[in-house]
Amino acid sequence: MQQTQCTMRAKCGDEMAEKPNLDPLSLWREMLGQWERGLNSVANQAMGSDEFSRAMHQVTAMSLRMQQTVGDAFGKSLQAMNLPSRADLISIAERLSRIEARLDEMAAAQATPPAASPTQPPRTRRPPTAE
Amino acid sequence: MEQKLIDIGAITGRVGEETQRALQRAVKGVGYLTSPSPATGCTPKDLLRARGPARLFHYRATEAELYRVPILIVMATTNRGYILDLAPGQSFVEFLLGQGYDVYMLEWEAPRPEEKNLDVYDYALDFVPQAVADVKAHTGEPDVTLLGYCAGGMLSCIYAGVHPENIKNLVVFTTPVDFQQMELFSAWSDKRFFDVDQLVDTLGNIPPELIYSAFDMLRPAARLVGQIRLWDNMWNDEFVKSYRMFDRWGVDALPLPGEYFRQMVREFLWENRLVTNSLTLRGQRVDLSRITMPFLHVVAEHDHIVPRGASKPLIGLIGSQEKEEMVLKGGHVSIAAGANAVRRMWPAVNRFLAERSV
Repeated sequence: MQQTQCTMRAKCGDEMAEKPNLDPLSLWREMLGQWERGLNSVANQAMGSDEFSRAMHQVTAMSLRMQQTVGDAFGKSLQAMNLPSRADLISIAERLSRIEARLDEMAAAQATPPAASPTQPPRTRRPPTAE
Repeated sequence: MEQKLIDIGAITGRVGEETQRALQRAVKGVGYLTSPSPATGCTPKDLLRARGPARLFHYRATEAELYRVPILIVMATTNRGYILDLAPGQSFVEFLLGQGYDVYMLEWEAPRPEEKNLDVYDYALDFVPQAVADVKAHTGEPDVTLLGYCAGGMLSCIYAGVHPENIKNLVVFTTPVDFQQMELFSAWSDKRFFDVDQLVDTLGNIPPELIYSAFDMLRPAARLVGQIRLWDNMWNDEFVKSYRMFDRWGVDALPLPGEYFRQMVREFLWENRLVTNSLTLRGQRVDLSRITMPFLHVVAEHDHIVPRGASKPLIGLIGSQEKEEMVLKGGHVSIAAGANAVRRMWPAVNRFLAERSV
């Protein structure tokens, strides 16, 4: 009789046959995971909307315009003080990069490519199934 | 028979365990704040070439005998390469070396302000082919396996679609091809609201904070919950170490050259040219059907950055007879660098490449 009861409980998947989870921290961790998934889902829906995209880019555009305005103002101040601006320095750096690239080309035309070390292991390995 | 619903012994044990953990959290929490991040990218390597933002590294062999065909890993342009070489025992590079491959990695540094004019052509059809040529010269072998991660896979496919004759095998993972299926990125770059020209013309290179924030916004609750979980598991040294490594890598995003970003938005996100096989880079047409070498695409089942819809069409566009798509459990990063990668992705890549690397 007892054996039959146990078997019936196992077959029915009766939860009462298992000890209930009384670990509050384990329950809290599960809830945290569910909360994370839920919040991500809700946030993704909101952030995928036209309204969000429009608002985000309006803020970005305003920030960029301010940055441009401040940059222009500083540029004029630097020019008045006969100092190079960031754009001037970048322009010089671009010219240096072009010079470096040409030097690299000239060096590459003359030099040999990076050669392998003579101490490299032999390239004779076979996959395990072939052995 | 009476069954005990409440096991007093188990509850007492749990309370004791949690009390211990609470004490450890307090002690180790202080240690966390005062100690440096764990070292990453420690597998010994040599720099072969540095040009612009491109860095080609050769990892020193650990085996006495190597496969003939070397592997060139092409890293994504937005992140550092050490995610594939996190720590001893959790390093895809270390795994490949241990299996007997000769491993190279093409990874990226932050582009300098004067490099803002670099575009997709420079990455896919200049830096990648230069690296392929260097690997062939360094090994003395005519064949190379190209292995690309995410955008690195995209660059690899683009290169292979123009110069298929230069590659022996092509393996990519978590690689997007249909950018309009990346719904949130697509929504955020909607041309009705997003003036990409204003952004690029004002900023030059796109700052890493913008890149990192965009990835973060895909799962806005993840950072806060991650910190709560970190505190909860502060007693667990392995958890904390793993958290620190992944967190550090996640915020260590790279800026993107302005023109590269502009082109990605216009031609990939807006016009979706890669999936429609209509991408042309400086007159060179990218035709994925020209890719006829053995091809493997490993896809992450729970990839929140490259959803299934964005990667699915790739296998159909590839012209190879010998091609395979493998969907494995994991996320965009964990599939290649997580604790389970050693049981899933890494052996799968090895099984595919071993017989094709002799």
